[in-house]
Amino acid sequence: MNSVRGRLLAWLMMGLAAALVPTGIAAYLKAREEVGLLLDYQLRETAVSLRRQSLLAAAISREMAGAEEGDLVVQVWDGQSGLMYLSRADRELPLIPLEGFHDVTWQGTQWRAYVLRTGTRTIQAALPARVRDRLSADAALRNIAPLLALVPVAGAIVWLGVGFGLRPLERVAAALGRRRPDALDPLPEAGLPDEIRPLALALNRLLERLDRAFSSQRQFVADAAHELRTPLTALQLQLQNLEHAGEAERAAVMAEFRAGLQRAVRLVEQLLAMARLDPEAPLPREPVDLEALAKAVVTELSPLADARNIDLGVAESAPARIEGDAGSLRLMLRNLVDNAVRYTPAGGRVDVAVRAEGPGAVLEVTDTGPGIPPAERERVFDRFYRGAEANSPGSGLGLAIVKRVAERHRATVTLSGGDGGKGLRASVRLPTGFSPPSAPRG
Amino acid sequence: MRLLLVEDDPMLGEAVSRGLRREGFALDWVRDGRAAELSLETGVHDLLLLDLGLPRRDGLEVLRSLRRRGSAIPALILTARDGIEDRVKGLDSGADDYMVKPFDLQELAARVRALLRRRGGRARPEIEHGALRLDPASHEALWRGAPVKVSPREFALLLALAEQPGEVLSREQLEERLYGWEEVESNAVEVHIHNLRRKLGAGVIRNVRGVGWKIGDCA
Repeated sequence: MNSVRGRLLAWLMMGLAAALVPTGIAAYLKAREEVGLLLDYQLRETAVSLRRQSLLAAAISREMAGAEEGDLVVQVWDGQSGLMYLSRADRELPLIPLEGFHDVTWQGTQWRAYVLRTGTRTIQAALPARVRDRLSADAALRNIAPLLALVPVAGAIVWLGVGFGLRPLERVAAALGRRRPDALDPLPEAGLPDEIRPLALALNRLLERLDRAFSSQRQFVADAAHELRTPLTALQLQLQNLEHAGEAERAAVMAEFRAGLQRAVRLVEQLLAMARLDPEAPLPREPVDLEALAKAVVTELSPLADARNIDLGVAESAPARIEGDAGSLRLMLRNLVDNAVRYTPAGGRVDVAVRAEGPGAVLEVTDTGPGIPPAERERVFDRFYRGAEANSPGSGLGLAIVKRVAERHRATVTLSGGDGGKGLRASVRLPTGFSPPSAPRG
Repeated sequence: MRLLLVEDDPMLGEAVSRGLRREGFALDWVRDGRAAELSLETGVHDLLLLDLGLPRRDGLEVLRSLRRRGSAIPALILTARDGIEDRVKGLDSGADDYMVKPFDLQELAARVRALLRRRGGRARPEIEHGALRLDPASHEALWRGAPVKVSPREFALLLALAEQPGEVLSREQLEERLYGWEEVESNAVEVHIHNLRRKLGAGVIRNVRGVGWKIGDCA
């Protein structure tokens, strides 16, 4: 049984039963005692009343008694003539030799008898013991009858009361059920009983967190769709240009189309990477060798650097191990190096450095490119922000990804001028023994 | 017809320029709001194609200050902002049309033609001058009812002259309308005129010595 009503009813019934059974037994025992006294009194009175009566009266009473066919058996013996009166011919109990009350067994039944001697006469009145039992049971039942009658009443009260008490909960459930899936405004907490309010409060906290997560997702999807428009428009127009291009133009238009496609693909990849870096997801804690990571990223991007005639290399490296997510740290460094290579003019230089610093480690990427004006150095980490001078078809997500990975590792990213104030230096300071960020939980 | 395209995205700017030039428009392309204002001050353009999210100066700002200065140049907004509010704001800021990315090149060209036609005070898409009939949408030229094959540049030149009958256009004016800021060979206009006269007869374009050219009677 899994309803509050059912459970309460079951408990109530068990409680009532627990009260009724001993009460019934006690009532029965008490009644039995009283009925016993009463019946004994009646037996004695019967015997005493017959002592004074004549035999005629006894004969009349025999007829009457016979007509009544009652339970009472009255017998009168005379010293000389033996049994002279028997109220029920079919029940001739043996004479009990002693005066007073007796419990006897006759023909397999229990009897209560009273024997009275007067002169030569012996008067014996007897009742089957079951009369006493029956009367006691009746009396006990009469005693507990009001209690029994209370059972359905109490049940009904519980049924209705629980329904009434749970109505606020039903209202909450109905209000939730009527909601559109995207309605995340809090439930009204006013007027809720104390027992239900914690549930509503907990629900509201959950709704608030969901709302925050949803709006951030919605914003991201909207931004992503917005950002995809431009490269997709370029692709569409490039395709149309390709369709109408003459022989002389074809190669150039084809190259533009290919570059457009690459850019769209890169943007989608970056969007996916960004989406996977869910700030709510737990961060894996595996040991990461930053020195090996830096060398791997430099190796990976060296073809790109060669193609753009950039001198890319690891300038400084020291053993540095931290705890974190190797995959996303690699993505972060890759984005930093990739940016540096893309924005640095041909003939320039991009240096990657790994240093152990205090309890943590520092990753640094320094280039000889145009740099970023100090006023813009904060904003470039915003999603889809592109610098005022930026003419490079970047996704606008590279540094946002860097920032998010850094945040997940409780690391800080700072941008400064490169060597001699020229170019750009991006420094990521990673703590070794980090503890996961303690997100505000309600 | 000479258009000014303001678009910060190099790839999209390249694609739009290429596509519209192929449609026979002369097109100048600038990449930020400040450059757009400087270009508009020259007053040589017939139509403005404007992106909104621009570096240095927002597109809407460019448009508002342009209208404040009293310029009536037709302006078409090309943007990724697709909300109703954005469109309304764009049109109310002085734009004549609004296209949301991604858009189709043919549609863009058709809207540009429509805006230019309206600016010229015409509702009819075709231009008729005597026995000469020009369809700006299909680039079809009809001479005495028969189609004549002309190149996009030749067509643009013929259109420029036929749109303003009686007006004399100098070589510089024609070069600007045909090429914008593109590099032009010094005798390019004369070559086109020579070719057109060969195809349509010498009287179709008349030279006003020392001044320029105008459309002939075309009877």
